[in-house]
Amino acid sequence: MYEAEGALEAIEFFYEKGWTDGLPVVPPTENRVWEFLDYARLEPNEVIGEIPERDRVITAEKLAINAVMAGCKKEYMPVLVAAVEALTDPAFKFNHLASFGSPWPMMIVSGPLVKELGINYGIWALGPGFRANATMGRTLSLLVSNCAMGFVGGVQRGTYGHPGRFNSMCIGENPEDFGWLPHHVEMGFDRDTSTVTLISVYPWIETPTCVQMEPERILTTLSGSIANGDFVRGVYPVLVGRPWAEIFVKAGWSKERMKNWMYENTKRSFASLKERGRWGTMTSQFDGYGGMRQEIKPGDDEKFLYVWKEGEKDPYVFDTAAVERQKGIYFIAAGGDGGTRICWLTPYQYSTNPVTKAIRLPHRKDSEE
Amino acid sequence: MIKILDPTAGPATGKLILKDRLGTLNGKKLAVLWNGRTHGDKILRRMLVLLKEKYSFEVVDFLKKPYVGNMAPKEYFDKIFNDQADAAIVGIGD
Repeated sequence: MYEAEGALEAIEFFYEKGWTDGLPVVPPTENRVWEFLDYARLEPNEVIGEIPERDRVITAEKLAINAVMAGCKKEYMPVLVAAVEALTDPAFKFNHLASFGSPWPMMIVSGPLVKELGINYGIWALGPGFRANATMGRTLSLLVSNCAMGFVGGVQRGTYGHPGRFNSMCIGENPEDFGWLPHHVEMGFDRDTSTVTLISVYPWIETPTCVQMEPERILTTLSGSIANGDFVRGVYPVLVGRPWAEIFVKAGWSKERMKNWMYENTKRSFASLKERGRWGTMTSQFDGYGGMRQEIKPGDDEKFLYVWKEGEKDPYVFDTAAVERQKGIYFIAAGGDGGTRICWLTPYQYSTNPVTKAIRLPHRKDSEE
Repeated sequence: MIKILDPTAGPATGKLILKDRLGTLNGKKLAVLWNGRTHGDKILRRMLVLLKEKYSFEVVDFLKKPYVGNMAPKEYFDKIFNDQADAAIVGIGD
């Protein structure tokens, strides 16, 4: 425990210590932290998650401290507990966050809590201005930095850093009932349950879809955009605003059908991939940096590689180390009512899987008893 | 005055302590642990060649992690200890 003259001095002290993300933090006073723990009915030393790669555990107290610093309300604690459980689940493979590649987990909250906590799922999704989104996302970043060495000078090796790490990689899924299969139900949870999904991604891409009003045409645009990206494999989150989601619902398209259409149609020819340097093996000084420089051969225009569907076993630049990895699409209802665009995010190409955890509300159980 | 709490977490078990540096590699036993990333083996083997130009040592283990994103299995650490390695070189690739 430390002492400071006042809040401003405490903020400066945290800067001196290197405990912030570059923005001021709310000083985590003992009382404030206890309020958070009390709300969540957690003991300070209760272990929420373990990170054996760093020989660290994340206790309830450390989570609460960082949540206070990020500007959270105490009501966000159950969401944050579930998020830490996802972050430290072995399937998520925490270690990848230190990569040269700069991935960062998008936090998707799905279920009734989205409205209750005021988590933005509509216009300006992914943008600043919404406390729940901004501060819950920021908590994860502070936590990884302060409790798991995720800072430059620690183990953070990202070549460019991830702007979403500042705060707004936290979104809600539209909880309105318009026939859309909510993400948490798709993941096997009850409708009344709320969940947090962490999925490690690169910054987002918006695809204009304003001239497409039919399911297949919308997906054609989306598929083309994804295939023109880095062509990495994994689970892609796709954010669909309500007007666009309703087009699929009203046309009787299930999420399963949407996904299957994408799996069958998102492809590029060998020639295209070779032209774009997406083909070959990871290159290095040991092969003269020539691993990806594959010559286009006759017939390469007629052979295709798919983003999701298994195809030819030819060398593919991002498949060398990529095993034990899920592939697929999470269609999430989120975004403004204006339509005209769909947003998708490239998954980190190596060692991670999305993880979904139920949000438990112990305080409510107590009050009901 | 306000009292503020420390947001950081140190090692949980305290077992991750760096050993003292070896005074020399001469006469030592070395283990190599490649994390599985592409070309990591080439980098590590090249490093051993360069080191052997200067020092006389024995490589008792050259292990590859089964999967780059996970910790090395406990058996690997046991093997390195059982083979009485004085030090380990842990490397990545790309």
